[in-house]
Amino acid sequence: MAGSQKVYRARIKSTQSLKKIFRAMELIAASRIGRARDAAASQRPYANALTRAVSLAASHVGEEIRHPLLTEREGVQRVALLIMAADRGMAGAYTANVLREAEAHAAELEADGFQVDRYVVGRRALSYYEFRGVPIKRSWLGSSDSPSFAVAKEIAAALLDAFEAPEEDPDAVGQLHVVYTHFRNMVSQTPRMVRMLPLEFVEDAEDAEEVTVVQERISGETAKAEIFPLYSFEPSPAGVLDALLPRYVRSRILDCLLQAAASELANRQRAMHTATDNAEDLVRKYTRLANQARQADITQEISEIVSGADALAAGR
Amino acid sequence: MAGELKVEIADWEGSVWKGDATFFTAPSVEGSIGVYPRHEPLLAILGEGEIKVLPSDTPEVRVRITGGFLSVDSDIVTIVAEDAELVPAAK
Repeated sequence: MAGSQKVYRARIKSTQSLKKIFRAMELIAASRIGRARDAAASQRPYANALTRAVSLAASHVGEEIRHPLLTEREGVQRVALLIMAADRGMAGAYTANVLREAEAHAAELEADGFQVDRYVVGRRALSYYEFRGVPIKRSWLGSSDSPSFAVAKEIAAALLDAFEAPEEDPDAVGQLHVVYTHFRNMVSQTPRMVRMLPLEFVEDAEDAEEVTVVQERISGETAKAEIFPLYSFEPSPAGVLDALLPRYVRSRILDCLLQAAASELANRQRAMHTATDNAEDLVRKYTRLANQARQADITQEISEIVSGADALAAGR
Repeated sequence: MAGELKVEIADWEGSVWKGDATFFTAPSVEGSIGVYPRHEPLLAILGEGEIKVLPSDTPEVRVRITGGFLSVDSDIVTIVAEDAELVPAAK
């Protein structure tokens, strides 16, 4: 049965070439992840200085801060949901996890009587919603694994516009929620939802690295808050806050994008590593089967020859 | 005896220039401002333009920026720009 041997050989060959592809993808993801983490790290001085400046300006404005980005909008029953997923698959359950989190959250919001406007980053998320006929307000594609400041700027501009739009505007939203994948470390990334607008002033105790303005800091009540010297402002405390808050939102969005990118790459690396291992297992299995088939062929050939010789000997 | 300003200019991609300086000017939205050591704490929004820094030991450094802000606090100066680019020194 030389046929089955041939089949196994062909399978081994194709699995081996697949394995090479998986291996290459794994290496690419591994090298990009370093870059993504560097990008996140290099953005940190900017983000830290910005956070400090925002809390500083806020502490000088005084008790009464009435900034549109800080106050809940009454009467707008719409929530923008920014979903950060991947442009490509081959990252295990990465996109699926983000979408599950997003949909669970959207369902909650809808149960509370809100209408959800979905904004998505990443082709996979877009195709998921398009397939299901769920309307998407806007999407940004093609840069999910290497987000740039320009993209963050664009996203922030679009969402701030929606948030600041007058009530009659069909695009106007009262809140902005972001679903992204939090990059804790190389092995642990979890999908997460944060409310971005109106700005939420809760310090994330879970990881000190994440920069968030503290509510208490803004109202100047906590002992934890840094005590700022008396600053002078140009043009004025409120003016400074006005200029800084949109930047703060932008920097937060960029931070989320960078974390999502690092998470995507980590997931891809892991998925591709598993795929490589599986391909190796398959090659091993098929090699055994091919050997077995060859052995069977040989045994059969021998037994045919021997029985032929026996028959000849018997017939004499 | 005035000390020196510790200046750091950064944009979102990281630090652009860092060092000690004796004086610098920056384009605030309300006009150019100059800062010497022991300036009072200041937080200013910057417009588009050029920052000129006089470092203590090297010739003048110029950085083009588009928007941002600067904070001065006990001679520690942080300038954060949307986009910052070192202008090559004129010959």
